[in-house]
Amino acid sequence: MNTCREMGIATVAVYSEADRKAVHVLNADQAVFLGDSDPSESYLNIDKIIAAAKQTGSEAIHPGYGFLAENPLFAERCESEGLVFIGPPSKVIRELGDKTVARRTVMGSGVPVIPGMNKPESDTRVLAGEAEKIGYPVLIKAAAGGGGKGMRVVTSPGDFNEACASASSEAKRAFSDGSIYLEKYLSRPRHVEFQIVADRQGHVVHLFERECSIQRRHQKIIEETPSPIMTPELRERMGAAAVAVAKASGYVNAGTVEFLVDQQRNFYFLEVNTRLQVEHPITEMITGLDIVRIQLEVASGNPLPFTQEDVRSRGHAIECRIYAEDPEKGFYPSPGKIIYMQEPSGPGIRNDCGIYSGFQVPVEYDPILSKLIVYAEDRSQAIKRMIQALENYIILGVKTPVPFLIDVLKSEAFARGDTSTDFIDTHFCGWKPDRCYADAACAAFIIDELTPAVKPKAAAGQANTELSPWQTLGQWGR
Amino acid sequence: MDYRLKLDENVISFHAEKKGDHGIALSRDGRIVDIEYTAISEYHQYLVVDGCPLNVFIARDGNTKMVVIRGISYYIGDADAPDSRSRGKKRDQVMPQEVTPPMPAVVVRILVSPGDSVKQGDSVIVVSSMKMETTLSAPTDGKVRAVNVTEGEKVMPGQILIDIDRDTEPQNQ
Repeated sequence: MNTCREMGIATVAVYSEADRKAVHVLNADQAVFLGDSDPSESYLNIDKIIAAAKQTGSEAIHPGYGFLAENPLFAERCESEGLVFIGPPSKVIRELGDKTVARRTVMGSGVPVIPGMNKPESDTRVLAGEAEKIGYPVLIKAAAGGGGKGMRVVTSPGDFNEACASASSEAKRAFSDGSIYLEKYLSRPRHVEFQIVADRQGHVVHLFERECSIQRRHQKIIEETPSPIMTPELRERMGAAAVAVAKASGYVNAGTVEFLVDQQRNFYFLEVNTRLQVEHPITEMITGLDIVRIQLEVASGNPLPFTQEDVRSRGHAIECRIYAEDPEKGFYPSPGKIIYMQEPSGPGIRNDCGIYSGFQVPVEYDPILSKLIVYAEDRSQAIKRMIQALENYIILGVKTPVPFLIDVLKSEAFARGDTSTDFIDTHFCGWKPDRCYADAACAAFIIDELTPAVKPKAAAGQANTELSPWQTLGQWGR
Repeated sequence: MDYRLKLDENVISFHAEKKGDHGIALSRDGRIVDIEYTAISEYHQYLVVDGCPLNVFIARDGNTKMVVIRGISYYIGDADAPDSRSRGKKRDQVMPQEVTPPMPAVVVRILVSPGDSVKQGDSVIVVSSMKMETTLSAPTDGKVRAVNVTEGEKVMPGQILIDIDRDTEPQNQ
């Protein structure tokens, strides 16, 4: 939305019952109410969204990164209604959305894929035969998959049938498509992805990699760029592979080609995300480019304003995702009301934030609150900057992984760049924070009891705006 | 003044003495800590603990207070305060008989109807919070007395979703 404003484009937000007070609604030039909080009545309801676009005279739709962002039917509907869908053509979304089709396309372009099947299969006997051929451990995946839904690791034939059944039923519930297939399970891989941008004239440029290995429940929580394992030679080969995948699929607009990298630094194509990624800001930090602006330019038919040689990367960026969840209880969701918050600020700090003091975190949707991004000259400075930013990020009212993220960033393993998708299980199983200021916290409790509640005349949330910097800069100069 | 505070599962005893308008002496196990404090806002205190300055953020959240110091959160309650959720129910003496969600959630599916017999551990209701489904189970053997919610309803911790009359003669003992 900020990009649109910079470009002189008016914006229309759509919202559901639960999101009446959401930040995107408050910031848009206009907002249209869709309906009930249930996604099928609002954010997944194609008819309602198209109607909202027509009613406001919108010319284009940016699908964001959830809900209908990777739905080919939605893109197709926009195309047939004469609206510009800010993303790839519906045909490309459809082909890349089916992971087995994507695997076939990619193999045709000579990019390595993880050994496994190239079409979905429902007969468990055939699947079991394939599993033997691939060799255990195998990974069952949903053909329509994403976000870890319908995924199972099977280490021995005994558990195979049961795992297939549960993976398939989970996939059916999540994607209305129970098709599954098998891949070789790579142990301790890294998740490295390449941002690509492509115009309608057939130019494809990659904007370097992002390392997204630190995950919980198969969802990323810390991303960084450059990847700590990257060498110029490997970057060149993987970047070329990402561009080849985009060209083979006829890609247009911004997308992400995901790879797994094994311990010998062999890389394998994983999938293409046909949308803007949650973690795109770190790429913007190191390249100085605004990816949303590129998306809008490409969608209006303009060619990319740069070539591969023009794109330069500088420094190091890290993103932490701040969810409403309890890191001490398996990252279980922790909805509630944001009683008070204070965002970190300073050089090289960006917080893409969807909450404010008084905001009720809805129980209906994914509990992401904000994305905290830092940029610095090199990796070790970026790590220190992120720790500092996290320590100055105050959110009262819901549990967040902030204490956990601080400990991850302070850890030896992270400093070494020893990150793989099992990082949390390996290094932070059963984690508890070091509550070293327990006495001070208890003192604060007692002082809070002793002092009559400060009830300023203005709303409580505004109290902090009247502070002088000298009061808030407690750690200044330390 | 004496305080017994609960932090995680630990109960810590403090003796606090006010010193002037902005000071407090806190003793714990015979050790005394001098603290100066300035209330910056309702949620923000500036403390100097034995000479070490700390910005402390605090808010009451239900029965406890959430305190954040240098990125680490602490949940502190008064150890002697009655648990508001079980007020009047004497939870300690009677086996729990009701089903309540662990966090704010939406009811997805109700798996039982009034009059149904259930065994301890049977699934009775599925709630969803932020796209994660949780199945709640019967806390005891018994008969469903009432289902107090409908599918799609928003529910809060402490709210009783399903009442179960406990079997008077437990069969498994």
